[in-house]
Amino acid sequence: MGKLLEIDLSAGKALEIDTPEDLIDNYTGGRGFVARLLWEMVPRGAAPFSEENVVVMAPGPLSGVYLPASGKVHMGTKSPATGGYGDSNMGGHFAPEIKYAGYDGLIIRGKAPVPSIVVIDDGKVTFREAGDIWGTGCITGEAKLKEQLGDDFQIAIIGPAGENLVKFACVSHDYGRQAGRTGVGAVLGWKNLKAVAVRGSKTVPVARPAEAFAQGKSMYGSCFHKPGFKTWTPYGTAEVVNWANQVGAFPTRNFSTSYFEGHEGINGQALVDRIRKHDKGCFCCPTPCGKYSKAVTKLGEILVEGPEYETIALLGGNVALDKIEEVAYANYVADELGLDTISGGNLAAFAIECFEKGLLTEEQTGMKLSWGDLRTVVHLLEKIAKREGIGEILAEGVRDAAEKIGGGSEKFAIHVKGLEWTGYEARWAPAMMVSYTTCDIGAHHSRSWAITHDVATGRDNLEGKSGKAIELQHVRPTFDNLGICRLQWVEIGFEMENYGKLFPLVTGIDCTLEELLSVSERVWNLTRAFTAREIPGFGRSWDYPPPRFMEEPVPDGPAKGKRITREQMDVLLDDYYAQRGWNKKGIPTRAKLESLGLTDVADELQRCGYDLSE
Amino acid sequence: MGGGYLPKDSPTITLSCVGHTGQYLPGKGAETEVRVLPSESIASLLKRLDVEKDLFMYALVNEAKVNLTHCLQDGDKVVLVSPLMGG
Repeated sequence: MGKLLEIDLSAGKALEIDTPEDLIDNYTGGRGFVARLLWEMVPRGAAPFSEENVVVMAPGPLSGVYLPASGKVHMGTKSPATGGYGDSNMGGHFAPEIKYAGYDGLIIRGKAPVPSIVVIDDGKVTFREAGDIWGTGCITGEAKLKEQLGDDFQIAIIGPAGENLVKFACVSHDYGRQAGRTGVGAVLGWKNLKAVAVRGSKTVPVARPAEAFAQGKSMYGSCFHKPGFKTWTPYGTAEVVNWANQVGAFPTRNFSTSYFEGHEGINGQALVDRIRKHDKGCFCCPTPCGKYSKAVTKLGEILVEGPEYETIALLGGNVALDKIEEVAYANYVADELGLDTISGGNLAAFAIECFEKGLLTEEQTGMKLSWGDLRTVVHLLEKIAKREGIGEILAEGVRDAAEKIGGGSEKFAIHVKGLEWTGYEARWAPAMMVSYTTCDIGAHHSRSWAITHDVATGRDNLEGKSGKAIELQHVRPTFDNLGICRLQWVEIGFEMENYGKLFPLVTGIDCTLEELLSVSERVWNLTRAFTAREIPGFGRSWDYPPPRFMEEPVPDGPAKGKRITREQMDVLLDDYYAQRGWNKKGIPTRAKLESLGLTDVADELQRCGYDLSE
Repeated sequence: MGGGYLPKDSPTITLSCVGHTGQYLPGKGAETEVRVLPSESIASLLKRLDVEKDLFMYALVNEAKVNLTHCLQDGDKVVLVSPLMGG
């Protein structure tokens, strides 16, 4: 049995507790632990910015173990961006270090009396005043902290955006890896927690070490011999820019269209030819997708990890920047400020469109806002992070910003449930569309990336699309539960069955891949229930895309003329709910919850007033 | 062997896929011998196989990266590359 470390910032105390058996047996680890612990520990109705809210940081049972890319940590909280369940994950080396320090996860409660840093050194926990680290950028602050503590500490840190409670502030690590989504960084900022530094020297217990080692070795060998192994790594995720344009799915000018005429200036080839210095990988990764880049722009010269595809989409096409150097610069600014580049890119684009339509004036914004202008983008990111001027409104997220700005701007506020949309424009991709709109944290791509299923089975065809979204919503988060990266499976076709073989060898738990996937379904229902518990009246109306996607046909490019209608969304959602065992209001039925062992969750939803009948 | 009803002396290539969209190919992405037309492009081959070309970002032909307009020769080893997500 492992340990969880419960850190009470208000009291300045830390307590080791045994990891509950129910958690191990029914929630695997990582995202599963985050979901269950938040359900149990965050009181119903707690404000995201309150001592009652909790942040959980959990690696998985395979994190830190000898196998390809075992370095993922999941972080979750009640999201200030959405008011519902929020989580995000990051690679790097933080997850294994938590394991080496002796823990299955960290639970962070309360609020420190002054800006603080928690240092976890092999089981010894100290609370330090942040001092002059507070106020620094993520990259600068991490470097300073490593100078103070030692280079062998792994650090998760927030930037000025988190300190200033920007609702899409991220948590940063290793100078360029982020748990970017849902505002976990803002909750840490409210808790006066600038950083968590971890160092450990313990061994991850492995039930059958010789067999686990042999399986891990075989998995590496298999990765190295995949036909795409050599060619995938040099370009990383930036490679997909061309493809996303080719199929009409690239966010452009605040998602007004899905084809960016300047995409060749910001694609994988441009990155490799013009700015990439070297590759950068996470813990135990055989296919390092990180690109460390040096870019020279009119605003200066920077070194940055990235840009990755999502950043290129949202801080490139979506704001019409057509030079990879400028995207990299904006990437650096967001990283240093501690802003999620996805939400940041959405907010910058939204502001530019508001300005273009006369809904914001130069007096309000502090400068003329223009598409394709790096100064505009950097100006907006800085204003947001500091909550200055227009930044005060934009820092609330695009849903709330549209409500304040008005003038019909909610039609082009691109979000679901309050979380800004990621890098795939989906008006002509129904499986991808329903994946986005039903995603448990809001408009996010990583749970179900179904757009190739749309391409394969017909992009106007709705049949089978919701089922595919559900299948992927169980498969992909299984990697998050295990605490490993899914990109080997996605990129080079590395067989998922390998992880099913390894899991019992590491944990000693007799469990098949199918059973691991069933945990994923349990977690999916639990996170849905969490959001329902926290948002009175939650349900179907939260599962539609923004009006732009239903009312405005794509004006140009490969998807020209395409939109998703409300009637089509109804077909998709009816099918989705029926296959999930949810009622037509989008609420899990009692029968479904009980079949997943979530009777207590059903009881709580009933107490909240939800009808759990079919 | 895939590739439709082509003469036995037609050029032959091996076709495989890296990544998740291999499931839509003959052989489900595993290496498969396919007959092709003389100087046929990869895009044309996929059309004959009734496979949507947009399921692939590019191809490796004899380990060199090419786009899908590349014309094939007898004996080519073709690996199609699936799109991916991330970042």
